[in-house]
Amino acid sequence: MAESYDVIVIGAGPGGVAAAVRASQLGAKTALVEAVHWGGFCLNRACVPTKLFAAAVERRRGLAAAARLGLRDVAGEIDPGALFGLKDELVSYFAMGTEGLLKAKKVSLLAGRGRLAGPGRVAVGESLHEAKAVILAVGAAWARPDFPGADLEAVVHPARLLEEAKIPASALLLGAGPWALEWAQFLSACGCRVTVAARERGLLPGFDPEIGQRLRAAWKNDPVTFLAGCRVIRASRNPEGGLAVTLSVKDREETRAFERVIHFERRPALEDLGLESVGLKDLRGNEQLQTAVPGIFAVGDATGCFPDLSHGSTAMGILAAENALGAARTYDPRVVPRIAFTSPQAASVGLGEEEAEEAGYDVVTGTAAVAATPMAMIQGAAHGVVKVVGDKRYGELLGVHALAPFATEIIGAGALALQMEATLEELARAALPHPTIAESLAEAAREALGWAIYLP
Amino acid sequence: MAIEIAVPKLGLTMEEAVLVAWKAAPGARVRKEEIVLVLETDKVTYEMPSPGEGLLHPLVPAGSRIAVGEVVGFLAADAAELARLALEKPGAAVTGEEAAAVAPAAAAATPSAAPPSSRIKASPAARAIARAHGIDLAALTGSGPAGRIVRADVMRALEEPRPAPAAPGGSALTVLEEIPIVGVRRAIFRNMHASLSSQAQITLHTETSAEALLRLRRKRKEAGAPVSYNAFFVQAIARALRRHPRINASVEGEVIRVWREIHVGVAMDFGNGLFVPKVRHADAKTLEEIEAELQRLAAAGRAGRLTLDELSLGTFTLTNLGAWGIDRFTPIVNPPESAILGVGRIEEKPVAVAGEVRIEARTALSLTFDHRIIDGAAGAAFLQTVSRFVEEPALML
Repeated sequence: MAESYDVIVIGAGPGGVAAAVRASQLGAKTALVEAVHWGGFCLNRACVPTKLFAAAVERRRGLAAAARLGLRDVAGEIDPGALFGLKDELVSYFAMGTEGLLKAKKVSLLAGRGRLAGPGRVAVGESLHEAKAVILAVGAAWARPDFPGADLEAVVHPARLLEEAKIPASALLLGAGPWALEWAQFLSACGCRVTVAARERGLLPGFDPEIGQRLRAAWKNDPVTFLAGCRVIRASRNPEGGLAVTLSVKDREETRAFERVIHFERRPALEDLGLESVGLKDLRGNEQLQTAVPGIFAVGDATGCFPDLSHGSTAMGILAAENALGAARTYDPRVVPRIAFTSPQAASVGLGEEEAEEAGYDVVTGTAAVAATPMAMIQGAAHGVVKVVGDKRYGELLGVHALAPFATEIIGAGALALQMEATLEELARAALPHPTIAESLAEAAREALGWAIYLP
Repeated sequence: MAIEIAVPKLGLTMEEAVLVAWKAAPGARVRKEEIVLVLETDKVTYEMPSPGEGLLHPLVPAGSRIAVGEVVGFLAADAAELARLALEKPGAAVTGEEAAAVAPAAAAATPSAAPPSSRIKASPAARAIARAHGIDLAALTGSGPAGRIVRADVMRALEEPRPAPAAPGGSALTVLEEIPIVGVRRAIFRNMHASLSSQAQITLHTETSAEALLRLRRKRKEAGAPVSYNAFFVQAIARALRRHPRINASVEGEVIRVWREIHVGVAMDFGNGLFVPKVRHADAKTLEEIEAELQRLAAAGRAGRLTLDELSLGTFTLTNLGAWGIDRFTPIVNPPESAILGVGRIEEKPVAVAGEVRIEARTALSLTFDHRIIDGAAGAAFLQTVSRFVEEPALML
């Protein structure tokens, strides 16, 4: 029987959960529809599992360097089986937590596949519901790459790899974004022979190029092979098992053997969503996150605004809920940080140096070498930089970029500074604690202003 | 015992003043005779010397209006006394801009700065951009959280059609500079308007030979005792007023008061507004005495030290624009006076004398007077007398 809601949210990933909780907080009668997993992609198959793996990699590196800190006889090999087990345990625990949270926030949970059934109507399985506003947080679905042989069984996406719970002997990873690099370093740490093939010229596209270059330098001695400016021409089954993959590397063809090819391509999950029932073709929205149809909002990966950033989806979800209930706030993707749990970590928020120049700013940059700071030396961090991008005219802060231990934590300060519209001056004068890696943030701003304190 | 700092009476007519600025910070040591504060009346700006030595404890913030005799602060003998004063007489621990924003009463009652509502919430970038473009944040509405002014608000204000500076044919005007109408400027503002709105003014023009005047100046110079044109005109006016006493008058209520004293004011401009210091009893002074008095007043004016008494209670005014190459002009009366003489430049001109054309130094004299109390003939007669005195200074004797 048809139930009537103020807001129905479809999809219980980070964007959908935040939207539903926020709508309910604001007094709206709210329902959240989810077909598969409470917590969505991030929790179940992406961020949480890969961050667990990254933690294992990081801990192992720490153990390898433990002798330096006076710890004797510590070493560790990763037991992938145990790790996959812990992953399942954590994921189910978090999913349960998410479900409990939603109930505590008085959000009605509707299990099943949700789809639009005309304006103001949402069908879940056989039942029909009415809503004054609908927020679509349906996420993204795997997309097969388009090279011949991409449909072979050994060409997999990372969720499949998680299901297999087994480390292949060799793998070709397509792409050099955060996710691919996190997997690359995990598989490599587990003994897999890893090759990363990126169409782009450097690592971490979308970050300030300096960050990618420095990460590559930091990984120089790692057993991961990088092929830049590379694409797959075809893949075929090898008679002795695995795949023979023909690659174009800098316009030269070569064939290599891999047990697995891992791709990370996803596109908005718009199938069977009933978009045609309201006349929508996609879920691109305006800056207030409303789609072309009034009353229908879209957030997160479903909008096609990749790369997949859970915290971006969360911010969008909160905003969409408020706007669905009458607010008119705008979403500013510029202040959402990009992060990579690599070792060392990489993080970026706002505009990179080149982006800022392209946007017409009179750009000034400042960098602080992290390795020279006391905390980096204590941590044994040999690589790293914090870089700020600013505008000369008004001294406005435009971007913060870091490759450093804890960079994913440090970037939060940068994101806040950007959101608050800080100038380099504020950053330069922030009394950041010592000794920390984060104090390089103030020093980078001082360098941009021409008065770095610790630069000899 | 702490020394009181009280507002002095700077002139007979002074009742209040604005404390424009404290010249020392709260708690700072001030020496005797050191300038401690600046007062402004509608006629003068006065830098007040400290009545003694001590640690300054201001009671009222800068910008306050103060009555004559009011205690505005103390000088404490030592730190202990300063602390005691701070407790017993909480004052204005503020200076400068902040202080100006606070109402005097509120500041006297509370020990510290501006009320929180006066803080404008704006992001640093918004502030930087506004500063660079001279945009007043107070005039903007913030669209950020809790009304915070953000970058976008300032950018919007920048994009709003602002009249292009010096755009030919444009109808809107842009502000180059804003000059507050306060102090001396307010006095000028008020007096000029009062002049034309309260009197029925008429101006008579005449021209006279300046040959004798030039000769006289030459002789004085040769004798080592030069005199200015103004000293000469002040004397001519004063002597003429003695012969035409009705010109030396003011309207007070329903009566015309004709004054015994002849105090001739001379309009002077020191670059910060118009001042009219008076030559007292000008009719009883010799040319040398008038010259000496004018020099003293000009020096005081340049130093910003003219007193209220030197600026008040005139009976007639001289204004001389000869130095600016002005031929003739219509001055306006400085109320409550009733007449003013304007003097133009001295220039050689061809003049017809007894059927011959001669070259002669001439100057224009313009008398503006209040036609309500001075008839045209009376005004003309006075001007004629002045004119003759200029033409033949010996007649003054």
